[in-house]
Amino acid sequence: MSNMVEVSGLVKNYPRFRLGPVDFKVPEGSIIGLIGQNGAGKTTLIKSMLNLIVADAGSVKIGEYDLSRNEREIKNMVGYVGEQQYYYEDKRVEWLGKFISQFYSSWDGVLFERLLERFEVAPRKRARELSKGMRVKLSFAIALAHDPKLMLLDEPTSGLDPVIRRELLEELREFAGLEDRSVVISSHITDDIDRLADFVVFLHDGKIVLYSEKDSLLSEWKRIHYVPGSLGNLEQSLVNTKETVFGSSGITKEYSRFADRLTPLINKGEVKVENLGLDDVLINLVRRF
Amino acid sequence: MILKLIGSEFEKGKPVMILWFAITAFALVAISSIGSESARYFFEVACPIVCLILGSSLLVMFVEGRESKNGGYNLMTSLPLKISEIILSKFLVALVSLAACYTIIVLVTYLVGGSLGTVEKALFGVNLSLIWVGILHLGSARFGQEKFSTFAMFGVMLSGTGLLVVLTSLKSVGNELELVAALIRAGSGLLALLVSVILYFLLFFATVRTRAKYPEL
Repeated sequence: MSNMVEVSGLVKNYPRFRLGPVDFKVPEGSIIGLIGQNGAGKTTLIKSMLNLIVADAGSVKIGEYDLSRNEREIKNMVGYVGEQQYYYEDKRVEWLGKFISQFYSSWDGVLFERLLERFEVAPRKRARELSKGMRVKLSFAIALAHDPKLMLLDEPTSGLDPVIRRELLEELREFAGLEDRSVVISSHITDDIDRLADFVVFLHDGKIVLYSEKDSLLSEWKRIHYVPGSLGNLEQSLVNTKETVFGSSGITKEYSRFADRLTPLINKGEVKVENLGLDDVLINLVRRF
Repeated sequence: MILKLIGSEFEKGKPVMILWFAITAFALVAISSIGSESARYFFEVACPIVCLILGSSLLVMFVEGRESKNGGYNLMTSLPLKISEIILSKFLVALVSLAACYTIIVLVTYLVGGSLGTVEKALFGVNLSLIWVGILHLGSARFGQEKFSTFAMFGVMLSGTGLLVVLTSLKSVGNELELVAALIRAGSGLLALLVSVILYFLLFFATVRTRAKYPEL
């Protein structure tokens, strides 16, 4: 499978924060979820991938284009939805569509109108009259109306109600279902990533500390509840151990290694295995670093 | 692409441009009716210079204020545009507006039968405006439009006061108006225009670098 995005050695320095060096790839047709605490560098990374923030070092390749030489071509093939939506507030939605359309080589005006209709964004409304949810929907319509190959989304669902969040995630899933389309979505709402992503990138303090296929990550990270002493030396490989009503519990990130040895204990009722969500993985990773 | 950007910049600055050009033309017509010849000459020289500097400053601050309020740079840089193209279009629009205002000054002066010699002196206003517009763009890119417009206002007031103090202290040496006239003569030649244009484009490059370094302002 070829890569839609290749980021190598990307570095951005701020007086009190350094992003990178960051290296990662986005396989064509996949959805990458970028998770991390606030201030971990998710926004800086996504903005650097479009030159919205100029990186100090490294390279970004999207499709066949290199960002340093083909910024326009890259922006033409990327749909970007930022955490905040910027519009000329006194202008109507239809004016904004017209204004933006002139800069894209593959803008589809009919599709834009259809998307507005589907998202129930009134074209005659002025930007300042739109609610937060409507602003995000408009941003999605703009991002999708020029037939992007890649969607870069920076906390797009933050601050939205669950109905609109679900609606937009469905839209993204539909987009990713099309051939060769990829999505990079950052969020601290791990539930969104859980629903969507094929791969998870965990960013901590400006560095990628984990890049894994989501399903294999979740199949390896488990919470083990056990009767004290029943695990033998397995207990030493658990992290975040604590006493619970059941007895003791701890987390493993290599469940497949112990599964065979745990099965008899599970059958005896001495051990219970609990699936973890990305939230738990994130919290445990943050504790480790 | 740059032509499309220039078109949209004209659209953004249209209200100020219309007002600026109309006031300039009206002021020149009004000045032509002044009876006293020396007073008329003074205003014929001063008015175009003031109109050029004030008008171009208002245009830049109006458009930059709008961009700052609406996150216009954030919106435009997310489109298939480079920051250098966005800023170049702004510099070119300011340049064309100054040229248009100067043309209006020449035409109106000719139509009302004013002294064409004073029109040459208006080039001083164009040259000064070019540098001032460049500084306004650079300052807005570095400090944000709102903060920098306050700096600029105080800066202009302070330097104006300073200039007055210097001119008053020179009274004993000679006529301060002659000094101003000499300054205007020196600053209204074609060489001065060339220097201003070069400085203008140097300020453009500095603005591009600054805007790329401080994208959130």
